[in-house]
Amino acid sequence: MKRAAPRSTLRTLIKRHKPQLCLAAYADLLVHLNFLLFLHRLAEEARANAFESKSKTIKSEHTMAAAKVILKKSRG
Amino acid sequence: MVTLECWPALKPWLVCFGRLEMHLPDFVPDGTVMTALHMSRKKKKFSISEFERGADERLPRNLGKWCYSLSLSLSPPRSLQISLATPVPPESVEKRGLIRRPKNRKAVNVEAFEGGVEQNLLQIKAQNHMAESQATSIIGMTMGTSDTEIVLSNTELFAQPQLGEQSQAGFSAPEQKLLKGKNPVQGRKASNAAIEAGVLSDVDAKEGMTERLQKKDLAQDPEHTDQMATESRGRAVSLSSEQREHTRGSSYAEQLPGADELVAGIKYRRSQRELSWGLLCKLLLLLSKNVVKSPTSARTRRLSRHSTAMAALYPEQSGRKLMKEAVEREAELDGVAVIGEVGDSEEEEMTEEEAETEEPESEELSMKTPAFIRTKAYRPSPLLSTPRSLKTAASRFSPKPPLAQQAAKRTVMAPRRKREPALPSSLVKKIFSHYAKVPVARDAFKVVEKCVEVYFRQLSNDLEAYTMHARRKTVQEADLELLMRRQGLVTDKMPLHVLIERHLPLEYRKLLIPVAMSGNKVIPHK
Repeated sequence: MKRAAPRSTLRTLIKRHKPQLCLAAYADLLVHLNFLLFLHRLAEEARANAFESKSKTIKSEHTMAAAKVILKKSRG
Repeated sequence: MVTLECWPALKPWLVCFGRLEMHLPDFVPDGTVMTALHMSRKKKKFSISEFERGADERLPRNLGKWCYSLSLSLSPPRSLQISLATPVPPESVEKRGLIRRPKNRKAVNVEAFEGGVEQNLLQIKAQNHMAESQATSIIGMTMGTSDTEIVLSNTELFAQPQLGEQSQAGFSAPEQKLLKGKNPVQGRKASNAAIEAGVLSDVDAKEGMTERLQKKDLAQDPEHTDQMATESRGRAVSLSSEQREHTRGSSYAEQLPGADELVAGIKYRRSQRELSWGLLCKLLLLLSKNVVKSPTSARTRRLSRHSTAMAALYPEQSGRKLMKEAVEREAELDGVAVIGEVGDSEEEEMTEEEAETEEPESEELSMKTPAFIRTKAYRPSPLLSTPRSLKTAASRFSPKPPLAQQAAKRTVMAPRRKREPALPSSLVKKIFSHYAKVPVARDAFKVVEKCVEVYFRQLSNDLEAYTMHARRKTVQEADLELLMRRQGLVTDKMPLHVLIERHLPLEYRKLLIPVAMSGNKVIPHK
């Protein structure tokens, strides 16, 4: 069920945004962890929104509202 | 460090750990003292050789951390000479897996193994690069390389998708092959009229213009070589496929009368190739048209040939690079008298490498002077029609700075490539739906995808801020931990390691969380 972290892709993504930066040996794993936790929080928030509107599936508006909150939270 | 003399003291430990089952990395060198933990229990006394034998048997199955540390501590060869004598365990089949490995009883094994793990993870990436590097090394100056060789020698950053199988005398096989694969229009043999009519794929005004240009050349010089035909074809095709904006080139085309029949038959072979190179040809052709109005015959001819040949060889992606190179080439060519001949040979015999470097130049020039090129290219072509002469000429030109041009080509390709990397959407979908636990609408995934992009941007900004604050250039794990702390993911109640253990798969856990082993060993090795 769990898939391997796309380590090289993560590194290229960050390199694209910040070419002057480079990642330590296992830092990209922690980035992946961070990414997983971000998605986790996003999913939880979206699910909560969906339940509030009494729908059994997550719709895009639920996700949008959730995204606003979570992105603000994960600004660090 | 545990030595042999300490064995009796360790006996009770063996008993305690007898039933422990722990996972160890497989790289523990065999032959070292592995605990036959189960076996040790049954004996009051045990000899080293028995112990080792048991360890050998048990090694692949049951590696306790204690065993590992013990083995490591016992790794010095002198203490294990007895056990090391037989690399192959006498009985156990389980050891087969370890036999393959060269026995390395130094502590470095840990690092080697981890290095191997890392390499495995990056293997796929490496393979691509290796293929390219190998190909480039293989290429050399071969003329008329086989298809496979040409495929190998393709130094393109992207693997070329279409590679038809076609070998034609005097023409580089790859060109034809590539063109054929890419050429959607198979009915090249049709008369030019058909082409003019816009049978070409991506029919454009350009395409028609290029056709006309070709005709013009043909009309003026009835003796075309295949090169010329294909060149003009390729140009036409490239123009049509690539440049829609360029209407300047068409001016030349319009002037040409229609001499379709000549062109059609000869161009067929090349046209296929050239169609695939439409992008390159288009760019170069336009440039050539605009810039050079009355180029020298040799230069134009060479450029034209190059452009067509190269266009055929190289994928559209290299079009930009080719343009730049073509500009360079043009400068070089000025004043060269015999270039035309060389151009012919180059065009045909150049390997992909060469073509890469030369293609942009020729294409550009040819594009700049489509009409002139064709007319002038025709005249010298009969002189060098023989493949031998072409080959020699090509070989002469092959030493041209391929590396520099390849490097230039790579840099041009790089910005293109940057757009591509993005997290695989399937992965994002899977993770999100797993965390959501309820069905998710498809539109919601798009929102999630956008969120992810924003998130990564924020993440890189934050990481940069932290790293710069620490006056470093490399993002360390400490930076990540600080980020998570600030995000509220890591608190005093929830340490980072717990998060790691919860969410990451086992292999990553081992890499991230340092574990202290006996004997002052820490995994992963710091």
